[in-house]
Amino acid sequence: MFNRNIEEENRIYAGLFDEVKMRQTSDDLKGVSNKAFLGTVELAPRSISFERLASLEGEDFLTGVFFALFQRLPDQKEKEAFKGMDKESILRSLVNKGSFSIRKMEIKDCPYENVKPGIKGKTMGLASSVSSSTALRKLAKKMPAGIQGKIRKLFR
Amino acid sequence: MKIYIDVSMIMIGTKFTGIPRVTMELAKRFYERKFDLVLIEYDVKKDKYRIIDTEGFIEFCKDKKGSRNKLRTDRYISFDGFEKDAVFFDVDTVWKTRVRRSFLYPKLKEKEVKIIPFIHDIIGIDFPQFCQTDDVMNFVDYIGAALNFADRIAVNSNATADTIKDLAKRLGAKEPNIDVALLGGDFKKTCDKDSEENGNLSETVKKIVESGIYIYMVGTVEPRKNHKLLLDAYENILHEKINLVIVGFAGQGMEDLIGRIENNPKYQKGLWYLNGANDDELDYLYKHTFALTFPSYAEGYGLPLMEAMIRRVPIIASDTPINREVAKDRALYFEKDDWKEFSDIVLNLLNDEKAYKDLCGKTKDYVPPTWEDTASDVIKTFEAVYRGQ
Repeated sequence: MFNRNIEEENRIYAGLFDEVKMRQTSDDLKGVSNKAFLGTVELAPRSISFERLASLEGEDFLTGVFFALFQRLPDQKEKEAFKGMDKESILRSLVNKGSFSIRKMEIKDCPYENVKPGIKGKTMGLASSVSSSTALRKLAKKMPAGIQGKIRKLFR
Repeated sequence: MKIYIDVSMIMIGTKFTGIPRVTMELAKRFYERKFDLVLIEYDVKKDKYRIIDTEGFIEFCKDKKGSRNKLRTDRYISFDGFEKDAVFFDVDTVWKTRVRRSFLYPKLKEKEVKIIPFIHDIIGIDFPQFCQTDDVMNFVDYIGAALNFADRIAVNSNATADTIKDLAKRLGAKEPNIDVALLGGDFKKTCDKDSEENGNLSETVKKIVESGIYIYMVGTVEPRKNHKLLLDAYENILHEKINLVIVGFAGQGMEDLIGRIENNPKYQKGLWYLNGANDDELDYLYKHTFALTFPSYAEGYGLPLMEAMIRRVPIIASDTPINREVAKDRALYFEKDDWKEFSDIVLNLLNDEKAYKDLCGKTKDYVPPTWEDTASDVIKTFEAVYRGQ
């Protein structure tokens, strides 16, 4: 029988996160709390329980939700766009991102009603098969760096 | 023994050097040794792992050509469906996949599956400044899961083993059981290759060799590889004495460095940059170089060092534990940030025939481990887990 020690496991994850924050020279991780990072540990690939993120507030919530849904942090432009928004508004906005549908994400235990992709989001979800096409990936890698960046953003 | 390997990244990848290469070489050898090899790929629609046709994948590993879509079967494994006592050998760039290891490993543990990650390096922890932030966060999840749940860890060098042990100590974590499996080199295939005769050399590559003696750097262009040192040395001193050839795919965010190369007045006259080269071209450039240079700040292994030694090419490398472990006393070493020391070494070799000859002689008896050796060492790790070690 496998006995878990969740406290010890989280201590290891938090310790690792502290290590990288200490050495990271850019500002990307400075505002990311261990609590926000730990909120994303053990999350399933598609189905995210809102309960894990519910206790996060402010920028922590935005960071946690981004990393939970998209396995990345919000960039500066996105942080500005979401500044001051309440949790419900953030969630409703994020589920309508193309990448939410492309990644086929679901949010369980959500206290807000009907938090689901709209037409734009669903349309983008049809593009999910494109992102796994090796032929198209090869083609994309031959593009100039600026265009590659724009393509990557589409699937983020 | 059933062995699961997650090949999700190889199924969509466009590059098969480095870690994907290691995965493919080991998969081939497990298959040849008749292990029950199950290759899997995460399927986002089913939210399960899809089983990949093993024989077809092994064929693909040989020439990296052909459609990978045909390898996708209609059989799946759920996250709770892994077989008890099987080995989950996590060797590829799995932190980049959708399936967080913090999610997967506890499920495998519940099923009494043996979890054995092959950790190539912990650069994302020790040198996060050299990595993309998102990659770092995903890597933290992976290493954390490995430290929390792995039954045993396999690594590619003693240097990597030491970094993991140091990390565990700093975290106050239990020291993991770690086994070293040195990476193999295609010794015979490399020596028998006649890159000139194969007809795969571009005019640019031929021109590079015809343009004069050069020092050679091969590997992805990214900050931790320290191309900046070579450019500092070349621009300040070496441009009058020797050419510089850099070969490697440009990583994200390297536009400034590439711009620096392309705007140099000696670009494509004495300073060369190739964004990729085929095997014959790489081999041709190795065999005609004055010396391989390897100035990295951090490496998991350093395959170019081995590639150079197999070809009896002299080496000038940054003084790091992993470079010392792979090349030992067969290279000349310099401090990572000291382009003047590096320049002095090159100038000395240019001016002192005996010193150059001595350096060339240091690689003459080198015999690399083979991929068979690597596979055998990894299998010993599997066996140790079954013995309860």
